Amino acid sequence: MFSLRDTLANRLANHRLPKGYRIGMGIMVLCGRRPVGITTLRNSPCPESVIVHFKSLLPIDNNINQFIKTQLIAMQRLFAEGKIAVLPGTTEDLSNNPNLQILQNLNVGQCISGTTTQDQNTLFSNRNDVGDNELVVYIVATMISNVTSAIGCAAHPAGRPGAVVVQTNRRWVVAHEVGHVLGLRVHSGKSDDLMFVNAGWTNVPPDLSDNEYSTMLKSSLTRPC
Amino acid sequence: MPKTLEELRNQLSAIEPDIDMFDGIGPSEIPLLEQLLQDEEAWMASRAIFALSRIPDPKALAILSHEVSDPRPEVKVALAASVKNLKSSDANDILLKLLNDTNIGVRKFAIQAVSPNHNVSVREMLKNLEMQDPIPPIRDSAKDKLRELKLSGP
Repeated sequence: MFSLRDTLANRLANHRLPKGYRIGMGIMVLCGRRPVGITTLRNSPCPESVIVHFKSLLPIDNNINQFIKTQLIAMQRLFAEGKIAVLPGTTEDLSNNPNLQILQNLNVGQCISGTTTQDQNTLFSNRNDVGDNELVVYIVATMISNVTSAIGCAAHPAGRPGAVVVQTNRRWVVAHEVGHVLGLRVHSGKSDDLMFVNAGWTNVPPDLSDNEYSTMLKSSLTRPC
Repeated sequence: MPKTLEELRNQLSAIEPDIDMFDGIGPSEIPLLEQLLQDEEAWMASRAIFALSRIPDPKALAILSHEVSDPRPEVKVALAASVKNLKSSDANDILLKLLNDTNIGVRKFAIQAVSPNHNVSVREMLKNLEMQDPIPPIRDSAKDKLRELKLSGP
């Protein structure tokens, strides 16, 4: 979902308005390449959606806001190609919670699915009214694994789906981590792919295969719109 | 053939890295890693810290010793977490400064890096943190580490 006001000017300037796009449609969701107004989403043929919340352990300033917006829009456009609408949930600033200060620099251990550290367990317990089938992306200052620092990590406690990321100008890191949470467990060796092991994507936006979209659509976290 | 800066930056850009990320990085990459310490992305500078800590070379150690004063906390957190890769005798002075850092994350990972082979000054600093650190989880972490090192009572 994104605001027309944020994107319309660029698209008009480049004559790249998607078919069906009209001024005054308000907040939009892309279904495939087709923009759909949020109010009509429930009646649209877009079959599935996933709700993603952001919670920041860093103070939410302009930089963090811009980071969230950039990552979210990049993910929405990419997932929409597979007819998955990414619906933004809440954005919460957790930086004033003194109990969480120690988690701004997070120990993620091995960062392997199904294995979490005490730091991760504590962090992911802060869901704050997020629905059971909704994802939370936590933003921290640093993530330290057993061997080095990580940019993102999708290992999460059972029943608390989500991922952790650090602020970065690599645009598809959140999409990559959400892809893991939605069932894409295998990394790609091709730099054109979203699930490339490395954040140095080429030929952007990166690609997701039909099989990968299918896997995400089968996830219990993608729900009918 | 020596790596270019872009090759090295690309090699260090794994999203969820494992130890293989550092394959082939050695003393000849030290000047490039020093450049990456100035990267605009803090996580990339942090990766350079980890890479330097894995190169047993006096030049790498000298750069790391200087980084205890890096203005970016993310870089100092990486330094604290990578101290375990250094010889204990090389790490004592670095660790002592990191244990005394104003940033909570730096102290958190510096405490975790303390081993029985570090010197008495480091162990004394650990005891100070257990008693006097203003942050309860840091005091708890120091207490746990002292217990692990068998330097505290039951």
